[in-house]
Amino acid sequence: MSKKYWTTMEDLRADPEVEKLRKEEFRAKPQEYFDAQAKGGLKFGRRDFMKWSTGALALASTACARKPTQKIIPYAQQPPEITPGVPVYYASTCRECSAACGIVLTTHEGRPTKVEGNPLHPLNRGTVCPRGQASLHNLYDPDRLRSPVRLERVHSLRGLVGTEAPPPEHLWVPTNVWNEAWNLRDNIHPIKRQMKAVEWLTADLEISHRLMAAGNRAVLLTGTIHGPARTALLADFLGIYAGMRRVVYDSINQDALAAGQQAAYGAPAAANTTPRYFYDRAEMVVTFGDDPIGAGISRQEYSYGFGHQRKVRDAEAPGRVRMSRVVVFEPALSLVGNSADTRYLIPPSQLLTVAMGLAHQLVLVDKRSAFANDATVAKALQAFDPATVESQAGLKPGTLATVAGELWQQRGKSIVRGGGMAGATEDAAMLETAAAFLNSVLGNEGATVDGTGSPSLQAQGSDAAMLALVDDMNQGKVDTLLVYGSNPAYTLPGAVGFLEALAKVPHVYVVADRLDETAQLSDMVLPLLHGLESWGDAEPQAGLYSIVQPTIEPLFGGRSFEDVLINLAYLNPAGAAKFKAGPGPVAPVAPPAPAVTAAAAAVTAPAVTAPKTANTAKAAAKPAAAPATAAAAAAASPAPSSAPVVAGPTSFYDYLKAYWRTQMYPKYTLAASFDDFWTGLLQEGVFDPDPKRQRPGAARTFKPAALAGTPAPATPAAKNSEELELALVVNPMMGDGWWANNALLQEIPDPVSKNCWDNFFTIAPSTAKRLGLEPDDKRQYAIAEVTVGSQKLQAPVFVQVGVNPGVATIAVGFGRESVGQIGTDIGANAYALGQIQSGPKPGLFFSGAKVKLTKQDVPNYLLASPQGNNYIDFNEDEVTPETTVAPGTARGERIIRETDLVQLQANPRAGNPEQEAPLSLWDNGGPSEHAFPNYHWGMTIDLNSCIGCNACVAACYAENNVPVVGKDQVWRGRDMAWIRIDRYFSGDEDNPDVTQQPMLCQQCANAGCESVCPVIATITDAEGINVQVYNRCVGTRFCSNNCIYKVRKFNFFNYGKVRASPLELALNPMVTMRSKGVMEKCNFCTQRIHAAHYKAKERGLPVEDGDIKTACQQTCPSEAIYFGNMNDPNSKMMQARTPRGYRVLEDMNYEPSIHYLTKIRNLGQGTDTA
Amino acid sequence: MTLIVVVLLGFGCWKLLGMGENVGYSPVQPIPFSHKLHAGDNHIPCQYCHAGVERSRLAPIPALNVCMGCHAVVDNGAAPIKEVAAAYAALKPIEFVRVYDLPQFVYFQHRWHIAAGITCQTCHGQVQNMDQVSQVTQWTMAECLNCHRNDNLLPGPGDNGYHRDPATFHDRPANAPQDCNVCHN
Repeated sequence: MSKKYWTTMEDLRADPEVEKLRKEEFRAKPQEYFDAQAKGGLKFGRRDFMKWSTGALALASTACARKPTQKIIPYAQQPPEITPGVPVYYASTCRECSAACGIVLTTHEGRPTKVEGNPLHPLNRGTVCPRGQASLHNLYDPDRLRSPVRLERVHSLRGLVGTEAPPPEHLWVPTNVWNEAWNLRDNIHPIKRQMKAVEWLTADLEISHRLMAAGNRAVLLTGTIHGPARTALLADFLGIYAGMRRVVYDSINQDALAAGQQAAYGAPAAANTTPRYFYDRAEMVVTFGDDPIGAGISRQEYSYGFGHQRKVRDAEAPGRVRMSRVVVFEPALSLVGNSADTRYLIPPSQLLTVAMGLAHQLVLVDKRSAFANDATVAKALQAFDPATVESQAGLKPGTLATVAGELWQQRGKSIVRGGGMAGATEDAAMLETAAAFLNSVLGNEGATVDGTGSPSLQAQGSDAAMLALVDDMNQGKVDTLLVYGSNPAYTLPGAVGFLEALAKVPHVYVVADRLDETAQLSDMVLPLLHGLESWGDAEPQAGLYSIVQPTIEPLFGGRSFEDVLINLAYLNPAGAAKFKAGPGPVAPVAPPAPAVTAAAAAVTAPAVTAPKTANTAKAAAKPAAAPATAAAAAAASPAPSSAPVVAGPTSFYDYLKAYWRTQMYPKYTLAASFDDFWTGLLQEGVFDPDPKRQRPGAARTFKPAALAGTPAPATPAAKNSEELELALVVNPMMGDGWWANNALLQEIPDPVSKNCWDNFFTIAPSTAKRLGLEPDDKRQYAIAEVTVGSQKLQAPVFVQVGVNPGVATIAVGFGRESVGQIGTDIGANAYALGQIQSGPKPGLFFSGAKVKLTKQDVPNYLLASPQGNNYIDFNEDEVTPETTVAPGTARGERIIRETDLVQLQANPRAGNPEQEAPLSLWDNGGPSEHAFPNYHWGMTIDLNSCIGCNACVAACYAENNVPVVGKDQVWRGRDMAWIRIDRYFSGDEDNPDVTQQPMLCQQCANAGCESVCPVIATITDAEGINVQVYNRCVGTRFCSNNCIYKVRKFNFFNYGKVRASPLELALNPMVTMRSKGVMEKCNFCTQRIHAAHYKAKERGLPVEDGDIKTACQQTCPSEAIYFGNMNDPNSKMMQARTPRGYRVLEDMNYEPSIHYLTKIRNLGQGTDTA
Repeated sequence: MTLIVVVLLGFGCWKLLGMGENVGYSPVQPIPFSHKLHAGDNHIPCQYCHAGVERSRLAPIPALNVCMGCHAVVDNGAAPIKEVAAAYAALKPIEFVRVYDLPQFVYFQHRWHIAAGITCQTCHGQVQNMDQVSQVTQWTMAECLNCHRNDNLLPGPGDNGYHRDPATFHDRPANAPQDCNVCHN
């Protein structure tokens, strides 16, 4: 163990400032409370406050000694399935992105409080990604649009030509709170003043009129839409508005993959499909720029398969111990790069060359597969001699031969992936073709790659179609544009000129949940329901169906997109009749049917009984307990009741059910009646009738001609050049930017950079030194500007290891100009730097541009990162007093233990030597004196299968009401996450190995926190949990100081009270909201343990293994977290503690209940870690 | 001056200590519902109306449809019943005034206590004799611990031997748990 481990650049350099900061008791000095509150508020300090409050206390306490009167408001008509205080669960489908994972919603009295994965859903199998976990923040987002609004289009945004004159006063009607909130930001959004609320009927009439008048000059622009009934409705709609065409555009799409596959195998049998990858069958994964687990199109499915293959398997048979091998060629560290056994830093422009070099090695040198005799292939590969490729790409000689050898060994059990955003250069499609070729050579096609059986429908957007639409708009060929699920004004690169083109479209209508960038420039915006408020279905992969059902009554009004379409269809005189002929007995003249079933209507009834928390009390105080059925009916009838024109519009619920009754149910005689079938469908949420889907479909035949057009090998950029290659990347938290107003996703640090609340350029340390862009001694970062074509972008420059010295990366998804109070103006919009592909196949590409980082003469910029805050500090000398160890290396013994697979095969305890019994202060000299006769809860965490995706962190925030504190507080070291992913680098300082360690309260039996608490607010309970008693805590913070794992978090402010309404509805009613001055930390989800105890009591049997799943464990896609009873040696958790188990800082004798399993690297045979 | 402050503070603190006990609190409810008439004179079991208490942490206050289940036919001419019927017809819930109120950081679980055979009267007093419910117990933590420390679990109607089975609770006395996180999540 002589490896050096470090966490941040400051740590690596042993920055004296940081070292000094760490030695101090509290990282940040006390902050004047009211300064931190809204600027311009009360101006007096904490001490003044104390003085005044003493007097106030005396007065207040004499004035009233009785608690205020509280009301209990029972239901008027109690829905039969609701018992107040007992949660109800609903299966649905996540609509946050087009991956369409199955989810199960926990609802308390009609409000969803937690999202979990649907265990029956074959994609995510019970897990959800951080974005799914955080989706309730989107549902309860106060910045959502609350009524249809008309905007006077003034193209003043971003300096476009147009009148700057103030709008007529009458156009500004402050209709609601939302308007008020927006007007606070007047200076940024001058356009807000010209907004006017309109009636739904007015909107419907106007839009349908315009669409009819436009004829074939009407365009429907959407993102990816799948699901049998949803697509059928779209087809019906486009049939009714004859001449209207649909354009599908996603900002982060699989355009290159689709094009590359089409070249390689011909057009796919099913339209709009891309292959599905079976990562759960891959023993070896090689990627060229793609990040399947961070930005993959079916991210959770891939994470599940990828993570499970990373587990050490067959450990009981020493010779057969195995795990997957991951080799990554990428420009800069990514989420999959974090997990890679071997990483090679390749600039984007070289990725294709390296991939072709690998193909050359495999086919021409090693003579593998039938393609070895193919002249076309030989001709195409000839130029990519492995030796030349290696020397040009800076790889060690023989690298490609080794990788090719390993791949051939795992033929039929490996996956080669190209592309991704970072690899999306001009040649992205060719790179995908090369990857497809490699998969075909290796026999993976049809074994781990499924292009024919059940391919993915999750990414259908096309850049080419979008560019064609912009052309049409510029030429005046588009009269009316209806936009849904897409935000091109934000996501299209500046080079495309979408804003200018949009100004030439006379009528623009947007269906969106907020006034986003595109909506701002439209004529009218229709408020969109959140996915948890609407009905729908999904077909993420051909033949896999899943149902979306509402779990809450629409919070702010609004309609689902499908209901908008249905209303517009009815208003088309030619349409109503045609629509009647649509699938099933959809009766347009019937009276408005309830949009939700009786069951769902019941659950959405907003009545609240017995207010237990401030939030529910508030909800109860409102006369929200409106008649459930009437409200449901109101929600269902989209047009106002006074609507004279519409006889009786149906809802999408009717359409959906009718479609499933007539089109889907007859195909599968799986239930006695449709009602049974439908009930089962709603209960299970997923319908996966085809067992053939579990295996890939037939292999396709690769067309060698596809390789013919390969460009010549890229020549490497000159070393030490001023010019860097730009690679745009996808931030695994923020994705395409749709989630920008989600405070939770902004706060959870990006797993790669560990920074939050910002995006930035990332360059290697050597590059920073060369270009003079290093951070200053206050750890603030220089701001630089890059120019791509006509587009300029300024952002801070972050310095990180694991980046190719010739590359600068920046994440897209930031720099929103209009998204809400949280997300607006965070970071810079890197989409702007995309470029248009020239040549016969138009498209967009985002990486490979040569840029210069020009340092700006502005003050340096502060980036907030929790990684440095929660620093597990220890004296290096303590562990080995007699030997001198290099700084940082003792971490390898005490915090992170690792070894490689070869050593593990030889010795099950490799890298994990037995430790001497630690010294003890306790009387018996040995283990803790606590007795845990019944249960002793513990955890085992597999460092090997942890992919660092942050899903556990997001789940913990959601389950335990952990507050989001904002960038300023994170920078002060006051982030509140109960579980965090500590990331350690080791080895080579330029291209290090990465180890990710979920760190949470270790529930020590000899807890250091307990012995220093003056009020016994933290004690070990009878089941081994180190409990934190909030109401007893007086906030001395001694415990945090004495905690060696740094997992205790202190409430510096009353975060529970500053949530913008209605975000408080997302709170878990079973967990106390902590107030100011209280310490908090992980308690192993004690409320879930209680629930399991209760179930056990009902059964009359003890709690069984698996009854309890902590929130973090439940959502972990790679099953890295096991939880169970340490008194039960047969529990899965104890069984997982193979000889690989160790405890962090074990020699401190805190007796933690969490064991970690050593990190194993599968270095293959004969490869090195370079 | 100092004396005044001290007296004031002292008084305040003394009052603070008593704050929240509320013994004897008996607010007037929006409808003159009499527990004495229902539970006492007519022997209607508590859980007939407060259904769900055996599986919820709360003791649900009955919805209007529960009232109307009987009162659609029973005594439906009386003025208060007419009021209830009108509220039910309008689906307008009645806002009762809360009598028993624990702090929000206490997660009292009714279901556990029902399962352990604790009667409603143990905590809520002889409700069946009250026309207008009033608080009889002083709800401090000491009051909770009085039972949790001293009284062994009583075999109640919901008792299935769980706590006496050596396999589940070993040699631990069958007392109610006293861990902080049993009530404070």
